[in-house]
Amino acid sequence: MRGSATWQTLDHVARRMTPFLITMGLVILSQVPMQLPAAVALTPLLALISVYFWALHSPELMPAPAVFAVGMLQDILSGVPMGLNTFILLVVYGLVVSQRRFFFGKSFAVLWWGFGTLCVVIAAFQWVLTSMLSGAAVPALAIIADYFTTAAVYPLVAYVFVLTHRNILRED
Amino acid sequence: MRHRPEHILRITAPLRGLADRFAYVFLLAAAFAILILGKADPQIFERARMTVTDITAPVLDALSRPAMTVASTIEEVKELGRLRAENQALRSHNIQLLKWQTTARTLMAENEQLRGLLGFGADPEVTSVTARVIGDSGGAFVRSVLVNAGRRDSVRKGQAAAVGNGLLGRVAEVGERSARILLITDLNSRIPVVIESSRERAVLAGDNSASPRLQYLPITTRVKPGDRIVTSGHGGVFPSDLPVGVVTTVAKEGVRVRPYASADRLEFIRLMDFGLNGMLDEMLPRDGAGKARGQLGKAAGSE
Repeated sequence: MRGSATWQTLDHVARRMTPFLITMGLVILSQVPMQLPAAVALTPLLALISVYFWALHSPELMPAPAVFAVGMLQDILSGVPMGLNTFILLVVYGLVVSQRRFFFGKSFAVLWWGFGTLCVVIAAFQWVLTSMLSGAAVPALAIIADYFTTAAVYPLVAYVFVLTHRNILRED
Repeated sequence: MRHRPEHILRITAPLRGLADRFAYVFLLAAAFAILILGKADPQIFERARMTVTDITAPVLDALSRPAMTVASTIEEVKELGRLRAENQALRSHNIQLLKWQTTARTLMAENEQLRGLLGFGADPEVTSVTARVIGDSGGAFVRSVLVNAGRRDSVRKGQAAAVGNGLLGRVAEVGERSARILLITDLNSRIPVVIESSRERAVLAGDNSASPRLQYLPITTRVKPGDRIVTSGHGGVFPSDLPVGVVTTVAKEGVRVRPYASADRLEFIRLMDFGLNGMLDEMLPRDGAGKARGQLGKAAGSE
């Protein structure tokens, strides 16, 4: 009996960790050189999609410390100033969690539109922050391209998350 | 059994909400503090960065292999189609190169003789390590790549990184089994260079675009598109006359250079040890790269 209870707890913990672990995996995956010519090598910000999705659907599966850890890993692996992605992802997290009520029960199109809007805001915010940190206006086009790609691949990544989410909830 | 966690949750929910909010604000402040601290002293997190990078390096290494295999297979299939044309081009190229070889041999012999006459010291010997690219963020904010060679392969900070015959960047951070290469197109990259034909000095400054700019050129400069840019060797980080790129545009807004080394489809990078590295660290005990780059910039700019 006790054994099965332990297993149940372990199973429970493992399930709750899934979104976090998937996101960490996505951060590592986005660093793999894809060997594409620079013109095609647009990089969707997978961690951003993940934080948006989980903050919206079940923030308890992606608590703030998890967002912090994801941001740190991304900062370290991509070589940007430490704290940049961490700060931005936490801002996104805070924004989305506070606006959950608005998105509750809305259609997928609305959620996608919400994500697109968020991308615009965050791209501008990141451009200002990066330019301030580097003391010069950085080229904006590459940033816009990255965020546009991110918004475009949202449905695909979100679909995988929906399947994951269902799986976690069904057994929990 | 199933009811208990929910029951506890109901009682502790408001408390948890408060704790969560506090944790959130704390983490947000921590991230901001890290950002400011890192800006004030870029070296402060270097060890932590390279430790984490070292841990993930084997995973990235394994993941980057299939991506590379797929890319090279596609490339091979493409090449099959243009095999004939390429063969012909290569043949004529070969004839040209053979002529050059004769010229080079003659010049080399002559050079050696003249050096012997002058008692001119030979350049330090170059040893190089070839490393594979395992991480390329491709992001809009930074131009750097991770390679699978580190301290154990005698890679050291400040070494020149090259692809083919062009300078690609320099080693910015070194871990045990991985290293980060800062590309010459990065916003933080400053390389002392000279215009090959006129020997005018300048600093090649990256700005995250594909074509870095020439800074601190003399006002009387006669730089024109097509001029070759090579390293000047000032500051003792790189040797002199390493090919960097070619001038593409000369305008009021600045002189742009297209690097010989393309950052697209990077697979292997040569990390070159000219026996010059380490000077940066000796000159500036703690803060290596950042301040040294500033000084190089000033040095090149003042002349």
